[in-house]
Amino acid sequence: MQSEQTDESLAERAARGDLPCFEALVERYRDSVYRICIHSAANLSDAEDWAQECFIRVYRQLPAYDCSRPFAPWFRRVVSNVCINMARGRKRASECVSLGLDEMNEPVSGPGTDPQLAFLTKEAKQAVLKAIGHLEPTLRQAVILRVVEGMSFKEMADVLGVPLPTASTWVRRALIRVRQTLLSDGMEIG
Amino acid sequence: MIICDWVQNRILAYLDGEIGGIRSGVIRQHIAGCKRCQKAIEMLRRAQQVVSSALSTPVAAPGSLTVRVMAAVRSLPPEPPSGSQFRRRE
Repeated sequence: MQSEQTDESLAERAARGDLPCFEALVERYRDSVYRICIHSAANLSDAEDWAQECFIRVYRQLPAYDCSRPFAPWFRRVVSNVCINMARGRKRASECVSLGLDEMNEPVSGPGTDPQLAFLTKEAKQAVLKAIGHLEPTLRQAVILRVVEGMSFKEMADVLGVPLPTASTWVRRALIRVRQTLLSDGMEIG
Repeated sequence: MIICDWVQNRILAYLDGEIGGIRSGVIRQHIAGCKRCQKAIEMLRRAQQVVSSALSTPVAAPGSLTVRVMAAVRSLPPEPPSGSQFRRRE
């Protein structure tokens, strides 16, 4: 049963062309990848395409995965690189903030938002998401891994392939830029 | 100023307890006596709260994603992955 196998075991078999094992990995990671892609693309309509591209890239790179090491950090590194490269490949920064943000503010599924964090109005959330969407790709990826995926800075450093202080600096810069954008748009965030 | 920059570049990791040893002590001592860095911490905490709130909506992938991915993978040209390139540490 694939459901009982570790990620590493599934990845080893998938690397040898066992598609049911790769499908089991897709099932395990699809929500996480989609979440990262939604915020990386800042666009609902692109998120599914980006997620598909991430999984294809993972599949192609599986032969290079060392199964004696944990699968998740390697997997997230591939996904993050795909998202950063796709964001860089966009023709204009304005492309990243388009249709779909309204839908993104409504729970697609899940247990509901944390009431302690749900203090922003819908308009304010839109403004924050827009500001995040305009961050440069590496800073955006850093803030997504930190806030959406809840990674420690050590984990982020591993995934992004940078020293820990750099991961901390990138999140700090991202937060400062989001704040500056919001302030320049007239939003008071304290 | 230079020490402020050094501290602030590590401040979020420090606040999460991810900076250890002597560096942690240097940062703690600096913050205790630096109004600029204390203010920066408050600003970052608030900004992080705001960003967390905006990104906190739970999201699940559409049901079609797995089907799409597997169809795309099946349509890839027949090249690796193959067992011959697979690396395993002994």
